[in-house]
Amino acid sequence: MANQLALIQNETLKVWKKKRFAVVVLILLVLVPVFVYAQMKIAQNNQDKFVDWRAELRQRIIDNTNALSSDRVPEEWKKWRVALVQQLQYDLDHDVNPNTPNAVTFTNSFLRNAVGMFIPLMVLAIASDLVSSERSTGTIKMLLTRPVRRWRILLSKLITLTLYVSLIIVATAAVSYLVSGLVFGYEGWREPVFVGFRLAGSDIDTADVHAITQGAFMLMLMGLVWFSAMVVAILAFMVSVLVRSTAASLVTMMAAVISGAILSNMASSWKSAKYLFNVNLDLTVYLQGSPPPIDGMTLGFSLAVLGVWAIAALVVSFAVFTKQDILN
Amino acid sequence: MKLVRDEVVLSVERVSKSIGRKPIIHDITFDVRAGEIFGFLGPNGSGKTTTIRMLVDLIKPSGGRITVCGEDVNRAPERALMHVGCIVENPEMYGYMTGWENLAHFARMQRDITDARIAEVVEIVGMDARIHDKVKTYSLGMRQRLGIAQALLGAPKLLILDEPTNGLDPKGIKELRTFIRELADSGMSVFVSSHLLSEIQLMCDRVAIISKGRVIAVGKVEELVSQAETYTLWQVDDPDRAIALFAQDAGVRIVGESEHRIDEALIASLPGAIVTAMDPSGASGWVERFVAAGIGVQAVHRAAPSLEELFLKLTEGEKVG
Amino acid sequence: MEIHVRWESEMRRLNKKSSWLWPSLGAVSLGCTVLLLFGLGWALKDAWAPAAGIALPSATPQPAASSGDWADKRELLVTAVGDSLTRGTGDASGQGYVRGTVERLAKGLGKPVKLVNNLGINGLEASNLAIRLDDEGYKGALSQADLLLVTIGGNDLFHVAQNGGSLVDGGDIDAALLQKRLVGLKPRLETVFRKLRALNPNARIVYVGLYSPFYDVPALRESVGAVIDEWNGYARRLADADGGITVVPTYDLFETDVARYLSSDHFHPNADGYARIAERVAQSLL
Repeated sequence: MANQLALIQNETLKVWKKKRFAVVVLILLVLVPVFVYAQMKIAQNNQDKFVDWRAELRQRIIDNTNALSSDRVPEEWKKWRVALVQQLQYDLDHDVNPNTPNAVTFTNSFLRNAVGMFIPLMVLAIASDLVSSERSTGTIKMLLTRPVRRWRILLSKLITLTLYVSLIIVATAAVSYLVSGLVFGYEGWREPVFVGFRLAGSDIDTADVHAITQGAFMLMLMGLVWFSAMVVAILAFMVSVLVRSTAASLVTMMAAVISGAILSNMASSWKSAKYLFNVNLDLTVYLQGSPPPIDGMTLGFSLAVLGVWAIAALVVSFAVFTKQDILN
Repeated sequence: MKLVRDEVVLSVERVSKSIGRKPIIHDITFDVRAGEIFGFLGPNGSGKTTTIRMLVDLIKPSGGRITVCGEDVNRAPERALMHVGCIVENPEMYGYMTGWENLAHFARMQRDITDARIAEVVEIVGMDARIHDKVKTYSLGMRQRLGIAQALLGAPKLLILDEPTNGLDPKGIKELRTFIRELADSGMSVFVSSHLLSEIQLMCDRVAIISKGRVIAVGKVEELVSQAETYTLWQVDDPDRAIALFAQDAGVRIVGESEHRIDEALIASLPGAIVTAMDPSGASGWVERFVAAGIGVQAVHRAAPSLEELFLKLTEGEKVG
Repeated sequence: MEIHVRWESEMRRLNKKSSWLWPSLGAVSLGCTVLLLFGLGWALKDAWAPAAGIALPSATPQPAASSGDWADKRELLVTAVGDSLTRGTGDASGQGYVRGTVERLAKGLGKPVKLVNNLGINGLEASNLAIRLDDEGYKGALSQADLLLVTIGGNDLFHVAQNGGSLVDGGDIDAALLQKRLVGLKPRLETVFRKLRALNPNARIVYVGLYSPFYDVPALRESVGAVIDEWNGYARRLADADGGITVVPTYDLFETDVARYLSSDHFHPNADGYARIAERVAQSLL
């Protein structure tokens, strides 16, 4: 009979006191500087090599163009390169540097690279033992014998998970911005970036291309990353309800996420793989019209696939959790 | 609110449970009344734990009805469990939080439990000194106390304790016994499960005995105990001649070592004692006969019947764990 | 009673620590969630109903090379443009003649010589190059350079794909056809030179003349050689008219020992071949 807010408070405090979020922030604080250092080396290298960013961009265009004409390049890579070349060409023609080395662009590219593996893994650190830890430590017997309906307890855990996923994404962006800013400077929010490229067959349609600020771009990226992170979280949540052992639930989900990353890279000719949740996680590709892992995937399609998986997982979670007998 | 004595607090009516196709609990029925300590006795694997879990909505019964203060536990757990405090198996709490934080956590799951109430239960169980330490640093006894504090938070009408003496030292067990009695005297019903017969005997007013998923007897502890046999133990100078004398009387039966279940401590204190089943009133006559026959009587002891004896009788030899 | 008072004060003290935790944690995480939902909504809106977008900052003018003597400049900027020879195809070390030239120049001039871009594209023909020179992106690379290195025309003549089949026997090369095509090809070169000069009035331009890869094919030696000669002669005439263009001859480099200086595709130079070209180009500039 307690109110829902108090239950959410309970769950939120438990995750916090278990220091799960602290671990995530710690991982970020260790790893982000590594990436920043790598990026700094690349930037230094480019600075030595090229007279200005335009020269660098031109060289990337030319190099990719040359790679395109090679027969040895697989068809899927060609498509990706065609898109890349056209995007870069668009930037160059409009005199917009897509990669000014600053904290904002670093954060944006970090977010885009993190969406497929890094963020899901950190989300799993919290989601995987949300329910299973209560079972493996036996505290679920205390939790479920209080005068509260089970669905309310599960709902409070789900809301808590949502809050922490949000915190993880914001923390990722914040740590990335703050650390990279030390090296690259904290400017760059208002610089333009082009979005709205569309794939039209093997070509890129630039009719809808328009510029937004890097700041707005970051917010959009974070929103899309959040959506896919939520889907991973909800699936892990379901596994955590179904599996008693935290380790088993973590491994199950990690296998799913990693195999998705592998499948995406294989750009498989196995078309029906596009209905798997794990190849749809990278929603950020659609913002700039990079070719999706499998033909025929669009932003709407990926959102729908992810949404269906998430809803199904929620139905299973609640159905099982409210009915299951706690036998051990 | 104090309950009227003899009012039914917990009612279990024809409850059964199957897991898969396998029936685990068969049609069990018993009531627990206000202010009584109700024992739930059975060996491990008899369905004791399953039953307790059904009482607190951890397991849904396949049939029958469990009500607490008139509220159906499975249909309206949020109303029924308001009146219940419980520890199922071990008192597992969140080790990474302090005792206080654990209590605050569970307090938030019920209505109107203030910090003052938390402080009160902490005091009741005598945890004042360590309550702000992390639970993972607690001994089992302290966890047990914290578990009881948690169970008492909502001032329940029914307290369910599953094997509460597990892991406690003799002093702790004695304290717990006194504590439970005090709670019952204040009007709370206490439901205690155990596989230790002596414990139930020492603690409980009434008892239900469960075996193989069936309740085989429910009643006052003394009434059930009176059904069991009493043994008279004889320690004499010349056991062989004493046995020969006993054998001449049809009213006396010599009980073999494998037949009785007398406390080992008692047997050890009377080495070589002859265990007999006889009318206790005839003991003094036998002392005279031994003296007359020149057999020195060192000790005569009447062994109170244990629930174990009773249990054996009721379950016809099921191995007691 | 006394115990209670003591308790409550201690309780308050100890709970102060966590009393702020939930309100702040709850508020911050809720705020983050709202922010991210807003970001998601914005992303979807932008993808499905794009807004006009922000105005771009006005383009910074492309840097242009200054006139004046090389000797007065602190560093020299070089841009290479053209086909697979510019790219360095056939050189296993990836150097090509462009890097070789830049290195030799730096050594010879005793000042830093920097390659702005190597814009070589495999299989590029002069007609494509003329179109590309109109690209905004290309212009900057060419206009800021003090030296432009150009190879073009080979693909126009031979229609050879960079990974094309073996030309060892030159079976499908028809000299008569080449001769006929040559007339139509000359204006392409003229256009390229004109556009380059328009983009960069001050740069020195080096055009690397064509060579024949077929000296060791007796049937083609004479006829193809004649076509190459004519093309190079035409280039030299255009260069003379401009005054700032140098045509560097290379046909003689491959005359004596084709196999030694051509790569396995029998069309592009190998590392040694490129080194010889670079040597020539550097000599013409120093």
